[in-house]
Amino acid sequence: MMGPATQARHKPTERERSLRTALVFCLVDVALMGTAAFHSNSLTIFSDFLKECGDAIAVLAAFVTLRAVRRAPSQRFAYGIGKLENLVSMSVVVLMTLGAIAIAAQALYHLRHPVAPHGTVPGILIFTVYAFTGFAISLHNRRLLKSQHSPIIASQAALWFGKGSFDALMAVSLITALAFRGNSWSLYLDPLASLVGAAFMIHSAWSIASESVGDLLDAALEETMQFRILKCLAAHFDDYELLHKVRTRRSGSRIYVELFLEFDPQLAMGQVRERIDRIRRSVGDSLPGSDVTVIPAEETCYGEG
Amino acid sequence: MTERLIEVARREETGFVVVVLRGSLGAVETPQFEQVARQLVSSGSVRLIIDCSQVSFATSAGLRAFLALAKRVKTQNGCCRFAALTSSLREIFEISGFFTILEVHDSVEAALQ
Repeated sequence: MMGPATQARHKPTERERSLRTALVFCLVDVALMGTAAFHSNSLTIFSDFLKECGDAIAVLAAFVTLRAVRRAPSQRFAYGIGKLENLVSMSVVVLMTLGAIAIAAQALYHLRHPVAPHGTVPGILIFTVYAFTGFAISLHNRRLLKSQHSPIIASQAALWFGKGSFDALMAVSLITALAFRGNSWSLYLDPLASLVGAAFMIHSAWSIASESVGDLLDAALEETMQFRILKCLAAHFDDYELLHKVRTRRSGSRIYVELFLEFDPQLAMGQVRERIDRIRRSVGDSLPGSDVTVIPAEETCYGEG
Repeated sequence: MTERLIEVARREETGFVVVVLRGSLGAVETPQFEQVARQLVSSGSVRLIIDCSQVSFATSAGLRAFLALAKRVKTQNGCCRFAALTSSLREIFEISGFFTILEVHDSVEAALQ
């Protein structure tokens, strides 16, 4: 029989439900855009179909990863597999970059060899509907981020914002090209809008990569969090004898804090333990979702750092 | 010529050692300060005044070094006074709750009293 902790680990989180919704949306998107691309000569619509396929793979990978992370830790991964979230985020970055390069290459080709697209009305309708939906999902993810830090949700928020912006641009450019199809300049609208869309994707990819790389390399927590730890150490100034080192890192949505403190050697072990518990609780309350370890240390144990 | 980040001046008449800090106190500069502070305490100088009037900016690493020094000096029955905090330093002292645990003075002269 499963205990409460095990049951909690197996219960889908709000983040998973959010990704499941996104995955359904992606698969429907792939089917619809594939149909639209099949009935149109527009390379812009076809390139978007390819992009949707890449997005669907990224969301599927993120969903599977979150499920795997929920089931950890295991004996093999005693610290959990939170960093898998960062690795998946990096794969999203690669997909977004490849998509942006493909779109840019296609846009340049269209600028050199402009063609009048036809059969674009289904594509316009799909772009319009999905622009609104993309922005709505991005907004939802950003709201989630306010209550819980997660690289994977951050990457999803950026992904869907880029997607919504891209769809909106495509819709506007196709509508304008359709409305002014008698004018030669309208032939250049699609490729130009595609280039802006590619720039959006690169920007989103860069912001995801910069955060995920830091976490993968065990970068220390950001300054606002460091100051919160300092405030706790100041509040418990008399509970420890010396402050040797503070080490922090992230692993997925978890925060790890290690405090190397020296305690009065005259204190009994029970008293030291009480003080350690007080400090741990204080830092833990200050940084929700953190795993705080207080390591009683002496300078000679490891040197200063 | 680059100005030195840390300058140590002894005020023999008062028994205090004044440590003058210059520029920013971030992740790069803090180890230098920590080393100087450790050397001073190891050599028995446990009455310290940290002159912060020329500190333009300090990160959490710098503040952590202040906290560690204050603790180290306290265990040696000494005292560590922070003097002439700049507005930016004052702000992060406030955020981190340092005013309640550290001895802060408006000027070096006031700290020497």
